[in-house]
Amino acid sequence: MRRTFEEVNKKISEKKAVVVTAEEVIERVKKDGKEKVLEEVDVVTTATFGSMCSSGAFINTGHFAPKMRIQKAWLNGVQAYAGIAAVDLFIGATELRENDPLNSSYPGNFSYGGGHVIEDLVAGKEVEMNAVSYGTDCYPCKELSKKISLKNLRNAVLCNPRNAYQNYNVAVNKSKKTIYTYMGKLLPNLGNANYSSAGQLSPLLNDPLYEVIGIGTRVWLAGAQGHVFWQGTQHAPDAERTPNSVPKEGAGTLALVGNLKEMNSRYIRGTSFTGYGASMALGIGVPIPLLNERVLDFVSVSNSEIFAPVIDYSSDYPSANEKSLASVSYAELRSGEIEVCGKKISTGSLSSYSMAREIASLLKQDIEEGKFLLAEAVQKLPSASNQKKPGSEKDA
Amino acid sequence: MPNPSKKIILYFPSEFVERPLTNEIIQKFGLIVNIFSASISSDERGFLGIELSGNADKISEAVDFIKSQGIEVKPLGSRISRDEKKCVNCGVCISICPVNAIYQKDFEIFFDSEKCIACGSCIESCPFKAIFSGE
Ligand code: SF4
Ligand code: SF4
Repeated sequence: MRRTFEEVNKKISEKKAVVVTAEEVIERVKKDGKEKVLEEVDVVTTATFGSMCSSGAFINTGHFAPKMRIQKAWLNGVQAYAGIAAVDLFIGATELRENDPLNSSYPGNFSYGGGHVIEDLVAGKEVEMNAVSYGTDCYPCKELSKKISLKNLRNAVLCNPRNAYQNYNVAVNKSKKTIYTYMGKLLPNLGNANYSSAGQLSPLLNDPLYEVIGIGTRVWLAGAQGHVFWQGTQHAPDAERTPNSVPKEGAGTLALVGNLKEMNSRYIRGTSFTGYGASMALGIGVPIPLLNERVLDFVSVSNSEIFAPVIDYSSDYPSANEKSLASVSYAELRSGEIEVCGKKISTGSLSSYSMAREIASLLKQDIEEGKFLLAEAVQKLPSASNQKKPGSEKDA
Repeated sequence: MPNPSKKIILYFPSEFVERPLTNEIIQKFGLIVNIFSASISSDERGFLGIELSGNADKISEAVDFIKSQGIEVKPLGSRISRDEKKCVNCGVCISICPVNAIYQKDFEIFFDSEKCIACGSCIESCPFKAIFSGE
């Protein structure tokens, strides 16, 4: 043990902590050697920014006069789930507008959904709320139409059942026609390949066996300080791994929670996938203290050592018969071209590496300035072989 | 009155590249076909900018015929711009561009207006609705 959480937090409070990003640490190790980095660096920051389905926000509107037990509610025309309590709602990232033409004129635009509602709220915009109910003796109001804004909500909590996928598929299309997926537009005959991970900067790729990040870990969530509250849904630690423990497919996920009122709309945005639907892009940063040499080995992982499976989304994925056509490294993906089935394919990234870098630097700065203390996990996430593989569960 | 005409961009996978499609259109529909740009991108996808002139009904029949051949057809759009506030520099638009007019340098996205044929393909591929046609 080189340093403990307590020691790191003491240094952070004194504004003396030495912090580098998960990208910088790779160069530092190459230049100075492991021993020196382990001696000097206290914390490594990781980050990711991309569309993350399985996100949403609980909001409590507060009561209006006369009071209402909201039965159904819509925010800017997007339905929010109201079956929780009188004035508690959950707005999900992928919910669509009530009158959205969907794919009736294929491919649909899906220009506005739950993620856009959340973005508008965080940006301080007014959102039109419509609600209906049946009326009770204690809650007589049956219909409500009101402008709401984030600052007037009693509570607003981002609560995401599954974020920060440890690794992810590279999507291609083997068929003869263009397809529209949650991995973007895929051109026929292996015309392009889309991937979605920040690779060497991504949180769980820097802690492949969940030895540091766990339940209770404090995270940077769209500019606010939030927490990991559970393993994410579909968390599948028993994925196939390379000899350095990095999963070669989806694997781990995180469930995250944070105060929506403290977030910054630059890092939480509605997204639209032509022909597929709407979602929400989110920026996440996770600090990893250099507790020991093993942690340093893990955070030093670089794009050339991280591999993702290439999956056909025209037939194999939809028919739940996913087989990897090739295993490609993030270094290859980032180069702009990969080779699959003997064909060179140009690549596109759904996750923004430039935003991930920005977030890793912002988190680094917050820690250096003593504004972000680390929280040690109160419980570990299920790790490899702690849990039986529940089968292939990698749906968006 | 001048003959009706329509400028369209065709996208086709590599196996179509060698096919004399324009001759087929001329013979089948009696239209005048003027090719104003043609290219095969580095990954062997091809695109062809053509102007069809002649009978208006024949033009739409010809467009339907081209589509039925598994070729994507788009009307020629106007200039392409990017809203820098909305763009997150993800790069998912890069692989969609048939003429490699979009590139990434130091993790930032750039559009090469010399190369862009304003096909609009990148517009629908951007999840952040950051690309639009027009200034
Ligand atoms: S897809 Fe949109 S957000 Fe991503 S780089 Fe292109 S323009 Fe920017
Ligand atoms: S409109 Fe977009 S996809 Fe089409 S050529 Fe121009 S930059 Fe490329």
